[in-house]
Amino acid sequence: MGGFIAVARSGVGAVLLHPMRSVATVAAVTAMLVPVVTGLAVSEGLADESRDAARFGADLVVTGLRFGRPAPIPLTAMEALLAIPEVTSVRPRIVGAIQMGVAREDVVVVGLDPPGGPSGLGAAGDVTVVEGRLFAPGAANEAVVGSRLAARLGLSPGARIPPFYTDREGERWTDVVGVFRSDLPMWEANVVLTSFETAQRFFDERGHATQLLVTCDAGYAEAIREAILRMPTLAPSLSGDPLRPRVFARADVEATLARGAAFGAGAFALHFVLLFAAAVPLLVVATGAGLRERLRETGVLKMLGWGTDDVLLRAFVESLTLAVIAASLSVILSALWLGPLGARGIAAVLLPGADADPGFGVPWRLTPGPVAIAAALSLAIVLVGTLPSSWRAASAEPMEAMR
Amino acid sequence: MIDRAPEVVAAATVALAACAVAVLTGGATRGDAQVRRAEGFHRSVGGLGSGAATSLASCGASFDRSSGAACDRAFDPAPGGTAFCVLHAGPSLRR
Repeated sequence: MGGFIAVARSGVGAVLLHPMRSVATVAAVTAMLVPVVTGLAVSEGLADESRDAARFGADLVVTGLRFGRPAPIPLTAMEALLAIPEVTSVRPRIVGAIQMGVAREDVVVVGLDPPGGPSGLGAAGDVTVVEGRLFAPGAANEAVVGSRLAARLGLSPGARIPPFYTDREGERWTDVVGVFRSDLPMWEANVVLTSFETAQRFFDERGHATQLLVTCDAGYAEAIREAILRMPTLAPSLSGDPLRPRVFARADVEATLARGAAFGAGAFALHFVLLFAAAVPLLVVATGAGLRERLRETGVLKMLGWGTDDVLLRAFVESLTLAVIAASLSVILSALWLGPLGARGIAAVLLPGADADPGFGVPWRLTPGPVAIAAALSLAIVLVGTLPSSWRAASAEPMEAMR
Repeated sequence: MIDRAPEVVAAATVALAACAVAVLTGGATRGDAQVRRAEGFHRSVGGLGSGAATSLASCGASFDRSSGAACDRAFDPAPGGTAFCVLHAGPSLRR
């Protein structure tokens, strides 16, 4: 046991024997792991916020389909949905895309009237989500804008936006009455939240919604979903052409999250490709460039009576120490990058469409699973770089190794 | 004189690992205030968002799954154009 500890102690000390090699190894492994750990943390954060959207949103979201693609739903469809037993409310919502400003910023217009009037909107307990206020009941063209959009367009509560749309009843100025806080879920970034009526004017549409938000008694969501899907059309009175219903339930979010192991998997996969690409020079350094030093060192050890197992154990402990240092640094640097640094730089890689300085709270959560994988990967890479050269050195005759 | 370098390295490594565990512990949980802010926002907009996009411009389905059944680029600029979508193309064509 004493011999084992002495060999292990020597392995830990070996980290300082070749400081440049140790620093290069830790730096290379950390550089590989940080983007992966960061990406997986953002993935977990996104998954959390997606679950929040489902949990705090409507029980069912109904959209219309024509040719298999989303189509506007006539508001007359609300009556058919309200007629289904256990449906407690149906609210029309408009979610549409426009562009604003000289730079033609992409904007997501959300038009929605809350059930009890806007006074109850935007607050959960004592938490306020808006700087300023929400749109007033009956007020035309009042809007709350997202934090990134406000920053890009120079908007703040009290600002007025000149007419940016064309409407059959004429265009109006839009009053910005509030700005979403930047620490909300990231989908607030480019949103303009307004009343359903105002959103209709933005798009010069009347009598249609893009979605119907259905609330029902607890435990009936699946049955109501089946009932809606059995409807041959959501708009029987308009024409003979069917408007097929599509229903999105809370369970679908979980299914979506389960189906995709991570959001933006393409970006994460790219990181893994980069990781292994970067691993190549690391392995070259650790195996090739380090072989000569290791041969000489091992020769000395064998002349002192060390066995092959001792040499390998020493190399393993050295690798383990370097891997722990690299994995720990990766976690700390990832947390710093996502927290205090606000994911600057990497947000645009992980979240296409975001700026290098995102201007909104990038969601993230470090969980033990991805970190454990990163640590194991770190150890594997360092071991692959160290053990073969140690094995070759340990297998050689001491005189040969010394030469 | 006994060389204490291994002990110093071991202590520094353990300290660094302890810091990482502390960061991990702190970063693995969401605060109540954060959840309540999320609740306030989602109640305001009726529940919005389920993907990596922050607008409908690039891909509606990646902004909000309930808004779009499939990737917008599946039909535009050409059928099967998902490979043109920045949120779906790349090394992994996951969806």
